[in-house]
Amino acid sequence: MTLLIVRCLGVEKTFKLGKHFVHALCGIDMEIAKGDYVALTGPSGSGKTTLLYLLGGLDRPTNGRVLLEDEDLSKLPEKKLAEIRSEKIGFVFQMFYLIPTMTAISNVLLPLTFAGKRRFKDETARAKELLKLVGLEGREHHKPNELSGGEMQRVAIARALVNDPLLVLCDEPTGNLDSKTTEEVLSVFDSLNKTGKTIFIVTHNAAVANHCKRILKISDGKIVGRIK
Amino acid sequence: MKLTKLLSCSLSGIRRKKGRTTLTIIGVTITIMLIVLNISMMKGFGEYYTSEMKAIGSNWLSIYPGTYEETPQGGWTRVAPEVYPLTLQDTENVSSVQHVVRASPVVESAMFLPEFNKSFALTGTTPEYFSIARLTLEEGGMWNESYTYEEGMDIPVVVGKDVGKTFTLNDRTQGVVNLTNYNFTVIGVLEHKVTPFFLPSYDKAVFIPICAAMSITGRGNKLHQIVVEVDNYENMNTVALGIKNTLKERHMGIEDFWVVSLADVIDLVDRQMAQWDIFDLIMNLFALLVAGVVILVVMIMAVTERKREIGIMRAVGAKRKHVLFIFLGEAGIIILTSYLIGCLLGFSLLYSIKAGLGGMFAFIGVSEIIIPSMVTAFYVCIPLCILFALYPAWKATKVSPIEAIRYE
Repeated sequence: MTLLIVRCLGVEKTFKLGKHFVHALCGIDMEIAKGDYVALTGPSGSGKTTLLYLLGGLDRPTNGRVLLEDEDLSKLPEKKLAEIRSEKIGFVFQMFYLIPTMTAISNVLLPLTFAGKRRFKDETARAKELLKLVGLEGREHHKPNELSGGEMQRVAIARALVNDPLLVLCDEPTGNLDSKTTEEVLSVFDSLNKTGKTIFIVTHNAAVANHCKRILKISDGKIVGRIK
Repeated sequence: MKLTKLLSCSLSGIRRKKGRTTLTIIGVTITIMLIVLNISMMKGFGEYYTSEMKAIGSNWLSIYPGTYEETPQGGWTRVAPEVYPLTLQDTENVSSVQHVVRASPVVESAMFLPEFNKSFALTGTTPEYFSIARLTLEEGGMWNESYTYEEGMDIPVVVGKDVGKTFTLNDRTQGVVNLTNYNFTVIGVLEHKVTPFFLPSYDKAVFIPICAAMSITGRGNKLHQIVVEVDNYENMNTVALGIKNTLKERHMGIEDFWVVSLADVIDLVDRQMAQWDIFDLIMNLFALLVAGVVILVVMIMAVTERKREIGIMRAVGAKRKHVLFIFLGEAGIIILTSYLIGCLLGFSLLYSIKAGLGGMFAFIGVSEIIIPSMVTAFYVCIPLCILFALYPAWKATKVSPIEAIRYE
C-alpha cells in the first residue's frame, strides 16, 4: 500500500496586488506518496513556486487544505510550521541561498541549529557525510564564494537533507546551472530518490522533469496534466 | 536552543560587514569610555570630599564680622560691615557659652619671605586653634598660652607641611608683613592635613601667635574670625543661638556678625554638587542615547541587508525567537566588545591622568573607584544599548519568509 505523505485538497491561493486580486492557485488537488519523485512544470506565473511554498509551510492557502502526514498546514500556528520546516521539509532553491559568511559545512549544519531536539549524535559527522554524498568531500571549509555554481547547489542539497526530511522541495534547482552541472545535480537527486527520499521539483525544464517518476503540469493555477 | 550555534550565526553576520562593525565599535567604545571616566571622576571626587569632611570634623563654628545674607544661588554674601568688631573679649565670652569646648581668635594676612622669594598665608591665632582644626605637630613645639609679643622680638612660627619643606624647623629668616620686616623662627612643623577644597590649605599656611599677628598686621583688636569647637554635633544649633545672644548683648543688640557652621558649608557644597550630579547624569544619558542610536541605525541596516538571509533561516526551520536571538546576539557582541575596550581605555586614561597629573587627581583610586564605575556602566550601558537593538531585532522576526526569499 502506498503511503501518502502530502495531500492537497482544493487548494486556492489569492494574492492582493494593490486593488486587484490575483488567483495564483485555483483548486489544486494532488497527492505525493513516500518515495515519490515528482516534477511540477509549467510556464512562468502559473503558480509552481506558490504551490511549493504552500507544501513547505512557508505560506498558507486562501482556501483548501494542505495535509502533510495528515497534519493540516493551513491551520497550524507559525511556531508549529517552523518546527515542521525544521524537521520534515528540506528546501533547495534556484539561487542556492547559502549564507555567504559561513563555510560549506556551517551552511549544511544551519537547519540543525534551529532544530528543537538533537536528532544526530554527531552533527558534524552527519554534515560531512552528506557533503561526501553530494561529492564535496574535502570542500567542507570552503566559503560559497570559493565554490562553483554546481558545488553551491550541492551544498544546498546537503543542507536540505541534513535533518533527514520527509520531503525535499526544490524550486528550479538547476535553473542557474549549465547543462553539465545540471546533470551532476540531477544525478544526486536520482540517487537520493533511489534511497527512498521523496523529492518534489518545480521546473520549467523538460529535461529535468524527465528525470522524475511523475510529472504534473500546471497552468493558470490549475493542474492540467499528469504524465507518467 | 543551541546558544553557541546561534551566537556563531550572530558572529557570521558581524563578519559580513567588518568595516562598519569596527566603526560602530569605535563609536560605542568612545561613549562607554567617556561614561566610565565621568562616573569615576564624579564618584572619586565625592568619596574624596566625604573623607575630607570626616578628617576635618563637622562640629565647629566660625564667627565672621559683618552681616551676611544667603544668595538665591545658594551661597552667602556680605551685605553690611560690622558696627562693632569681633575682639579677644568676644572670644572669651563665646568660650563661656554652654556646650562650647574652646574658641580661638583668628587674624589673617600674608607674609613674603625674600630669602625664599615666596609668599605664604599668615594666620595669627592661639594654640586652641590647632585642637579645633585637629592639627598635630610633626616636629618641634608650640608657643604657650602666656606668650606675649614685644616689638623687635623674633616671632615664633608653626608652619604647614608644605611650607616646612622650604622654611624648616629652627630656620630663622626675615619676612615682610604689611610692608615691614620682621624676624621669624620656625618652632614647629605640622603633619600633613587634608583640607577641603573650599578652605585654604593648612599645608601651605604659616601660624603665629595672635598677639604678634594683631601687632604686625595693624589689625589691632579687630579679629577676622573666631573659630569655635562644640562638644557635640547635635548641640550646634543651640550653641549658634547662644553665641548670637551673647554677642548681640555685647554689640548693643546689633547682629553685625555671622555665625556659620562647617555643616552649613558642607550643606552648601553638597547642594551645589547635587546640581552637578544631575547635569552629569543628563550628559551621560545623552552620550548613551547617541550610542543607542548608532546601534539602532546599524542594526536596522543589518536587518534590511540580510532580509534574504532571514528568509533562508526561516525556510530551514528558524523560529521567530531564533531570529530575535541572532540579531540581539549580534548587537550584544558589538556592545560587549565596545564595553570591554571602553573600560580598558577608560582605566588606562584614568591611570595616566593620576600618574601624570597626580595632586588634584589623587582621589582616583583604582579598585575603589574605577571598578565600581565599570560595574555601574555595565548595568546601565549594556541594557540600554540592547534596548535600542530590540526594535530592529523584533522587526527582523516580522519578516515574512517568502517576502524575504524573493527580496533582491
